[in-house]
Amino acid sequence: VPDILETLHDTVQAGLGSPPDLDIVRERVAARRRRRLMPVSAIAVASVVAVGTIGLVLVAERHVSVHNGRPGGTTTVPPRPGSKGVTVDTSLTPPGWVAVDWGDLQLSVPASWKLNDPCQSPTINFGTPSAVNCADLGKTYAYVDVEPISAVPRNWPHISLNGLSALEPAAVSQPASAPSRIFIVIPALRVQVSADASGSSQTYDSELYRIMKTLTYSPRYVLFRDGVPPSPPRSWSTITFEGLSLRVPPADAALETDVGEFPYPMCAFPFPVAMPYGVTEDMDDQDVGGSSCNFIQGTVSSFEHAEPGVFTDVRVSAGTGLAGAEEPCFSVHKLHVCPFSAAYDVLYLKVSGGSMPHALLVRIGLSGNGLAARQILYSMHSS
Amino acid sequence: MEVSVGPDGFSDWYPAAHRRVLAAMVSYCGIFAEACEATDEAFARAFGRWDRVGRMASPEGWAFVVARNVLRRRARRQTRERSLAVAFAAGAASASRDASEAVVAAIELASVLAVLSERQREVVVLHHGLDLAQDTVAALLGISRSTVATTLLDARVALGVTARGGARA
Repeated sequence: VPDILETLHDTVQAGLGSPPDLDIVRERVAARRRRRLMPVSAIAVASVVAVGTIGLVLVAERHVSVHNGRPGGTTTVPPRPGSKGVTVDTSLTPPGWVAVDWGDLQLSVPASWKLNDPCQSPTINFGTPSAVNCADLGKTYAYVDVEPISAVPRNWPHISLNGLSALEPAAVSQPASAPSRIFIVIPALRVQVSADASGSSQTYDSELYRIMKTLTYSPRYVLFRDGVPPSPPRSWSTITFEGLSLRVPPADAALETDVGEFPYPMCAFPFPVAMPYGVTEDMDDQDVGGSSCNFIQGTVSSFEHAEPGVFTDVRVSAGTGLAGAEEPCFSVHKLHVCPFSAAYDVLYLKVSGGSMPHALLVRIGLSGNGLAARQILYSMHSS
Repeated sequence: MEVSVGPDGFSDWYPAAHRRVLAAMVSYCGIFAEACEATDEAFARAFGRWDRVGRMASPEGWAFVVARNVLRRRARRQTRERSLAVAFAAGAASASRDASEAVVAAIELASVLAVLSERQREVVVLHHGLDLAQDTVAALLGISRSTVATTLLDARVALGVTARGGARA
């Protein structure tokens, strides 16, 4: 051990590489400022994409009038019948575990488990590293799948899991006597959950049942629940972008508004969409949690979590891939909002109308109890 | 470390600090290209906020944490927005392009440290790599000093187990 730590010390103190010339650093900073402050004319990237002036300003608190679909109101929300007052029970996540949301469901798993985020698949799978890492094939493993509901089984016993009504062929509350295989259906959340462990080993039985005990509503469910959302606190800032205005957590948390390039095709949509430019509320001074290096090294990703309400990106999209929202569209302060929800941990919204010259893509991080994200969503106005 | 404030202070601090933080990032993460890009970005941010960063107890520690967050943010986007296969291929390709001796050594070090949890790696690299006091590490990571001490102990145990296993093998 001393050798390893000494090598680390010597390696770091010796340093690596040649730093870029200071002029390059200055140019990098200047370029970001230019992108942030200057309007950029239309740019063609596969289709017409426009980037506009970005401002981050503090404004006085305004009353946000929100009515849940009532005549004369300014906001309608997708239906989540009987959901008024529902929150994510964050206390269900044991210490050392992480919460993962998928659609309207959240569950928690040991932090050592890995996530297999299957691009363009409706199923999310996570399990012990040996369940999702090809190098470990053949070892004992356990996994959990969450996927859209395929059918509501008849004659299955109803059970209650943390207030959620579920259907299950075997009793979840009897881990000692029940088989490893778990399968439950939660009709109200439109998901089914299956869990299993390999072979005859019951190593993971208790763990799988502990996972089942963590099921709760997801932040997305809270986002779309019934009821009037609270106005954002006075300390929140307002971002305006291409005719869209929305409130975000305070500037001392969201340290920087930045414009970045996003050349990646997005698997959250029915087909890839170019996302070249946008505004990011940047939290890079903050510990954003989760892990990246395992992913970067080429293994399956560890869990990544948006921090409550601060992972809020606004992007201009090419628009061609934004058809086919899987949730009903709704209105927020006369803006037309269509949610896309294929990705876990984040909600994508196509926002149009008002004085906005283009449809925008807004993505809101979903974590914590979901209330901050709800406040961000319903703060959207045409600017 | 005493650092003079202002552009001149940054100029004095920047070259050596960049080399150390880059080495720390490669040791932490294991992929030179990613670590390099994140380190460059962190120092650009340090330059833009030097009035504030220059007064911190450890500007290098701050740069490391910012670079780490840049990596995490990028990975999080990649997780959602790119396929694993594409990302893996890109990472492998960039690593092979930057295979200088020092870089390879740092990458090998990262593979040794890979047995540690992410938190353990952060604490070990900040404390043992960047020579930061436990109090400073605690402040940078937003954890208590006792947690830093415990994490260091756990990391040593984990590295010891690995080293003994390696010796037996």
